[in-house]
Amino acid sequence: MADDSSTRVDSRDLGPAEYLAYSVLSVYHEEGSGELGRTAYHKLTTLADRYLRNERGIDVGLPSYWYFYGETIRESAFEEQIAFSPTSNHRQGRAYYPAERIDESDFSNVDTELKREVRSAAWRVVEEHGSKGWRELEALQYREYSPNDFVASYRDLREVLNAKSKTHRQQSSLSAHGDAWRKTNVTSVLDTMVERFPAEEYELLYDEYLLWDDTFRLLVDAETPATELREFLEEMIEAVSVVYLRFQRHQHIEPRTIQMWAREAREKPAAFKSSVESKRTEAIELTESTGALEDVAESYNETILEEIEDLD
Amino acid sequence: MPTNAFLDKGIVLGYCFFVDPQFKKCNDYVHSGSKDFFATKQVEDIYGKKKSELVERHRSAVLRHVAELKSDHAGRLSESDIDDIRSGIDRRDNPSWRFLEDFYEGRQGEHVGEVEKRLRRLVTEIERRAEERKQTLYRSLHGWIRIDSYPDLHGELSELKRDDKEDFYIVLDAHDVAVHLDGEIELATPNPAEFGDGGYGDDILERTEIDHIELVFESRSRGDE
Repeated sequence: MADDSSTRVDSRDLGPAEYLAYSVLSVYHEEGSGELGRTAYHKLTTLADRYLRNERGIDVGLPSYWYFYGETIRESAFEEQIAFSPTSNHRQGRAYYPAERIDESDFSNVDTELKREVRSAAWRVVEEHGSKGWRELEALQYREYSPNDFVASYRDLREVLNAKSKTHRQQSSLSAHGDAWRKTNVTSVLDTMVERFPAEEYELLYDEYLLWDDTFRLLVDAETPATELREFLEEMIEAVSVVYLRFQRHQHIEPRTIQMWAREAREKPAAFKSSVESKRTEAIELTESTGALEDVAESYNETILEEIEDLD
Repeated sequence: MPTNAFLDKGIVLGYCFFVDPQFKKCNDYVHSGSKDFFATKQVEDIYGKKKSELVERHRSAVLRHVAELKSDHAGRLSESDIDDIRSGIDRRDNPSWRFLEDFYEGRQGEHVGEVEKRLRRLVTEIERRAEERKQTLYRSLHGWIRIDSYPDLHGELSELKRDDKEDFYIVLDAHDVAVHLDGEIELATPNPAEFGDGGYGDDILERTEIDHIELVFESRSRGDE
């Protein structure tokens, strides 16, 4: 790991994986396609890596894993060495550039032939996909490489919510019809998600997921703003990513990191549950009392009575 | 006539979860106005934990059931659909089986979406009431801090402590209040088997300063089965 970024970079640290990432950045900016955000940078690099592995039989050892909406590079392994990432001029987040303090000669450890292959892969990917926005790149990864179709569907929910919040910004008043349509859309994506949730495989999160799903529906009914819903969605995706996804889909991650992931995965279900519970308390307070329990009063009371008896 | 009282967990759960007519008994007892109810922080934590366990148990059971319902059925539910659903509820695995089976009675012709909505409302109703009632109850409780540990009672009531540690601590706290406050103190319980004749009741009355054990409602005694 790089410690002091102000000292001259050690060439021994710069290998084929770093060269790939560096090449994607430098090729992209040679083409002059404007700012390159984090998601696009990661997608282009992982696409180039996939091309090298599948089509050229070359594995540069790029550390990557699936997280949230797609494959992401384990950046801290080398980001500071090969990239320079100031805050973006146009949007939230950072813009990525090849680090100014290094150049081709710093990659003396990488075989010349390998460098050629890597550079060529970077060119291919930037040429074919460089002009695509991050959303399109993400969609591409999704269509072809999603770990399962549940993951594919939660992205759909994000897109529905984004559409919801965009329209809110554009229009000051929405027709009742428009709102109902959006609510139906959200509910139908939620239904698809539940159907696709791999209950057995993701056993540690199943009950928590159903709780999250029910809470989400309560929030939708309570006309919760789309941005808040979006945050709540991401809490769930984070839980799924931390407990399962990054273990299902990763490469070249060092054992110490896997151990750290394993620790985080053990703690996550309880933390997720607790955060859903607090959101849920808020949501329930917004609902009104119904006679639902009275309809089944006798059988329900009998159940409670039995459970009280079983305490002793 | 006892003026001070302690509630065992059974009473608290009954208060938090029952609907009428069972609820009325708990409610009348807690809000009779003639008694002061006490609880230590530890005892309040026990109540809270038990309440959460019960909420979660039924919530998970009903939500899992809803997920299955939606994957197995669509559109309007016919009578044979209802039969399938009811017979599919596993009485051993599903703690909510009784009221779920009850729920489906007369629902033929209803749309799955409507049934789903009603089941979800059932869940939130259970949660809402349990939380509201817990808040109401806690407002009625006088806080108490027990400093003495009563090592003798750990020995004398060792069987209770082994069988139900939580109730043992409730008894200990009740004893402490009795030692320090004037007036009589009672322990309220739903379980005559545990606290009545032949149960721990005799030991408790004999070895502690608790004056009376009050039966607020009666859970089924095991001897009847």
